[in-house]
Amino acid sequence: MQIVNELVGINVRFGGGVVLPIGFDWRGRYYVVQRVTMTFERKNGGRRYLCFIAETAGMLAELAMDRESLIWRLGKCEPSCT
Amino acid sequence: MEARQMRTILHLDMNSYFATAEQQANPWLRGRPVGIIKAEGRGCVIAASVEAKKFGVSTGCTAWEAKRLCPWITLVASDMDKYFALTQRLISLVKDYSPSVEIFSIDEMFADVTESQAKFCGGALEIALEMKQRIKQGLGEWMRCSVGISFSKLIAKLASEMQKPDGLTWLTLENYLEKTASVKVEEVCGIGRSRTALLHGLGVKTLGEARMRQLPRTVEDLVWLRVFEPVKEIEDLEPAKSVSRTYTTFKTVNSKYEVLKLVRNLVEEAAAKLREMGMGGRTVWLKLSGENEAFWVRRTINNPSDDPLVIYDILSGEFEKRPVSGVRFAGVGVGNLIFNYQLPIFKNRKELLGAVDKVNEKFGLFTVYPARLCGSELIRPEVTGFLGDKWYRFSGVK
Repeated sequence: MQIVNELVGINVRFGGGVVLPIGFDWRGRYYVVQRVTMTFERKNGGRRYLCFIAETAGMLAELAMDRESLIWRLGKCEPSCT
Repeated sequence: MEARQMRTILHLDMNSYFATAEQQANPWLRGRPVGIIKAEGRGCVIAASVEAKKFGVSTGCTAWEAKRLCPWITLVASDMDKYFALTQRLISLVKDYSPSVEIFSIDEMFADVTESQAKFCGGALEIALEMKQRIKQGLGEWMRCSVGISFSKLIAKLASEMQKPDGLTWLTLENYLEKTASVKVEEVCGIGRSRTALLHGLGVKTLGEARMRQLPRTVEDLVWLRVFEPVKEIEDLEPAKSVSRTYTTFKTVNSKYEVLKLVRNLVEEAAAKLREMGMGGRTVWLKLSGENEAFWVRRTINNPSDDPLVIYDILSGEFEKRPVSGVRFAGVGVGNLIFNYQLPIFKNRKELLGAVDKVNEKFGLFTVYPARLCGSELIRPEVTGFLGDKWYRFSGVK
């Protein structure tokens, strides 16, 4: 996966005690999340990021939410058929 | 067999863990041969998917060899954050079934379900089936595991290896000798290289053949599967005895300056780990493998230390006495570890290192680092699935 680390606009759904991204804006295009294949946590120094591997039409994206600031970023991505 | 030894142990082994986790994350990789390499550009496969194993790709293969065996293999850089997150989830899931869980490695664990199986109408078998189902729900539908059930850890581990992937095997007191007769001797946990060589030297390949021979007591216990160790929880484990860091370089390092820079980098990392664990060590060692020559030194100091400068001064001093060039591998280690060690009171190193640790904890390791390491790419910590530091790493998992 290629490192991107850019801010994104995000739509999430809260339900069943969890938060799940359902779509995000990146570089002027809106990507609908078809499914989240994995969630996990990354640490960088003292900061913790909740990461979601999201499958969209044509792209596999790693969305990361900063647990302190609640800022969402597109951490990594790759075309979903490579 | 004494009654106290009769336990019900469940061994859970995630199948091709790292590769399956990557296939879970990226659906395009599912059903395709995948090899996990440490990082982009590294030449060694550290895990292979079930599909890649069918082509003969295995752990330890070079990337070149993997491509030769399976030209359409996809090589993916490892992502330990992902695997650790899954392992943490796995541990808490297994702990729902037994308070006594031993984390054997990043993808293997034992659970003693002797008491808790009574709470399930199907006993241990129901626990195993439910666990497998919950792993698919909690970790991902592609995540698969093999489960072995038996009355000892050794036999449960053998049982889990009998059906892969996604298997479930129960070896009972009545059938375990018969079912394991055709198992290769080297597959038994505890029969390593030298014992395998001993047995192969006698013309023995399987456990069934070994059982017909007169063997040394320790080997005989292993081939008759008479080892009954209790499940060791994190609290039962002992703190680390040593901390070490090794690195294989991308290209040969020839200059003395560059070799010492590499050593300093590894020392910084090992010392940071020591301080994180609140320990200091008395014995330090350095190993360098060159193209034509090797270097190995070990020194013991009077006062335990976690100061990279102290450790580096000793090791670099020894290296200066007989330098080697053409280095492809470097390893440093600190042993004889203790807690509550006394640092020199007339120096301000403790405060300095404490401040460095605080900055690095907040902004990431090597935000602050020695000037000597400037001007080249820093080597950062790598974690393997072996988990030599599991006592420290998982002691907070309940």
